[in-house]
Amino acid sequence: MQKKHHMLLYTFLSLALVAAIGTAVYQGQRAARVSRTLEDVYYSAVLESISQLQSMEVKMNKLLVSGTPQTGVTLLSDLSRQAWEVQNNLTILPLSHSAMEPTVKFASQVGDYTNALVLKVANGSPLNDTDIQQINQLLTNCVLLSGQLQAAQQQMIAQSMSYTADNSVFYQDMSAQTRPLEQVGDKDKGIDYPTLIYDGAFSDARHMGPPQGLPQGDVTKEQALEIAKAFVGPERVTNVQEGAAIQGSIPAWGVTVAIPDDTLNVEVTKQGGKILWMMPERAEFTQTLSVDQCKEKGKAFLSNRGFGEMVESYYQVYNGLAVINYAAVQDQVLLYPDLVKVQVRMDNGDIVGFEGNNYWMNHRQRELEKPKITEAEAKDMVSSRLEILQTRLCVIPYRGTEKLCYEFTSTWDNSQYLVYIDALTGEELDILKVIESEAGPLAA
Amino acid sequence: MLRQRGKISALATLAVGIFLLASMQIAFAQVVAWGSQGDQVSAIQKKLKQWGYFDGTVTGYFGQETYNAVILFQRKNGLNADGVVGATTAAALGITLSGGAVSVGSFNESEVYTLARLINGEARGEPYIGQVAVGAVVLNRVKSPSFPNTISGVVYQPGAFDAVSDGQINLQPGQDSIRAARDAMNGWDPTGGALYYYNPATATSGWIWTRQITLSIGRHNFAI
Repeated sequence: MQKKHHMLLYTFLSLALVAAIGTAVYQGQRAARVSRTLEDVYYSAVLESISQLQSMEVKMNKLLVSGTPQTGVTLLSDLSRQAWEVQNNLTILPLSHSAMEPTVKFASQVGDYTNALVLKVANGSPLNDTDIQQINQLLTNCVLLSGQLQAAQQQMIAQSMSYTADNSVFYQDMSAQTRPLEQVGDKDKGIDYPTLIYDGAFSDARHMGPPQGLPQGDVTKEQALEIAKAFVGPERVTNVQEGAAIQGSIPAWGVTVAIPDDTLNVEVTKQGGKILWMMPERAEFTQTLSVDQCKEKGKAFLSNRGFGEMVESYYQVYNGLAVINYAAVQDQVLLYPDLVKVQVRMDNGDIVGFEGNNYWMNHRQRELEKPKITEAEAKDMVSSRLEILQTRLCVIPYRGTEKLCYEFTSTWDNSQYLVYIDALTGEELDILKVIESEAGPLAA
Repeated sequence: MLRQRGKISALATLAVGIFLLASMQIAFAQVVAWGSQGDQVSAIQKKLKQWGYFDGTVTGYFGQETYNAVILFQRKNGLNADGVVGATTAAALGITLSGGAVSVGSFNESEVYTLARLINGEARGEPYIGQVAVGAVVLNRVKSPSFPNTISGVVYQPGAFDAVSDGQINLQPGQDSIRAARDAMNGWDPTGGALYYYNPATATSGWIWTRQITLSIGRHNFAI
């Protein structure tokens, strides 16, 4: 009787073991299939990059001998698209970021640079000697880069390199056993990428410049505490404490301000003692007030805190907060670069959030030129399909500089559009479409 | 006799152990199954009741009756009858499993939601500024020529974020993470332009320590 018992048990156990091994083998095969599919994706990304670069070499050669602006524009548009595709393909690869960064950056900048040239050529200015020199340099680099990628490709085939085993070396140093593609970025063995110098927002020597809106003179940590308290409103504040300080583009002191039902995190700029930003720790408020009422509250708050004339523009609503954009005004011209955002509680109208980075970087008394085009002449440049509702003069940030424009708020086919016509040249600089999103109207 | 018993139990444990290990999957996907509770369960129960698969009370708790109803529904509709409401079953029921205050269909929302899920995976439990900071790093990378040009490109760049590699990005984000994503996209940058961040207690890379730190908060240092 006991023997039979054992027999059953042994049979059961053997079956269980077989099932276990069977499952393991099946899982192993499945994993190998997935791994191969992934390797194929990475390999095809390398091949795509090589193919794009070779096409770019041909196009650059053609560009250097093109005679008309039309050909130039077509070639430059293709070049910028292809350069961005190379950048995209390179970032798919699971390789060390510090090794690949110079190459990725190069591809991205070629894309931005050729894109900037499109506008120049389309406006009738042919490529000058500096441009020709730059393009020649870029051509050399593209040839070198595609050569190295091809060498890497050969190695990949010869050694059946697997990129899925031991990948994700993102934040680590390049190990002694570098993968062939990573040598492309190597300072000794790789390519010497040039510093592109051109009038564009993406050049290496991008002049962010000092914050133009901050007054001179530094404030101390203790002064920062007082400034934060005054900004929040002394009657609300129950406690102030030192918070996390920031380095970076605008260094600032951190202050944690306690109010009866929340904590506000405030950053006070070290230079000039202005409020860089403010954020509430928690926010989940009921919506009792209207957006218009909140806009008024925000305006009053800014006026009270010494911001001068500010006009509201875009807004969003989330978590019971009205997040409203305000732009500064000078001589009735709206200054979009001088932008602040205010978060207003929709239950009681209190201000709990603020963001002023753009304002402090850009705000100053500007020497505004008088428009060379009349409003009527500018209107002629706007598409006749659009029905214009409102017009005003404004300054917009444009490709690294600022432009004085006429802003036409208009509608067509149930959508609202904002058209910006350069007030000095009559060029149509930009068109924004207002889109209703989950959180409010967005302009894109 | 005892020795034999010992051998048998050892074998049994081994077999069961191998079986479990082999079939184990780390799943962070959105599913509603036996033991789940909440609004999503109520929604499922209501639908099933509407169509006659479920005749219990709508309790919001996924138990035996709900399980039976789901199996019946799945069989009748040619779905894999496993009693678990995943993406396909939910679609057949006509409900979305994403929950939260985000409807992924409207403009921009899928980007907000991706960012929110990353923030949740990487920095939930951190001070609010720390969460916005993670979002800001993603946006700074989008602007930088050294990184991909879209939010999804930056988030899913291989090896960039632990939360993506280990699946924590697939957890449902809380309201804080969604608000942090919106604030970051609206321009709040507590990091002063940082492109990197790391946990100083666990970072093994020597390289990352050479970057200039712009903000240090909670568990993270943010660096340019």
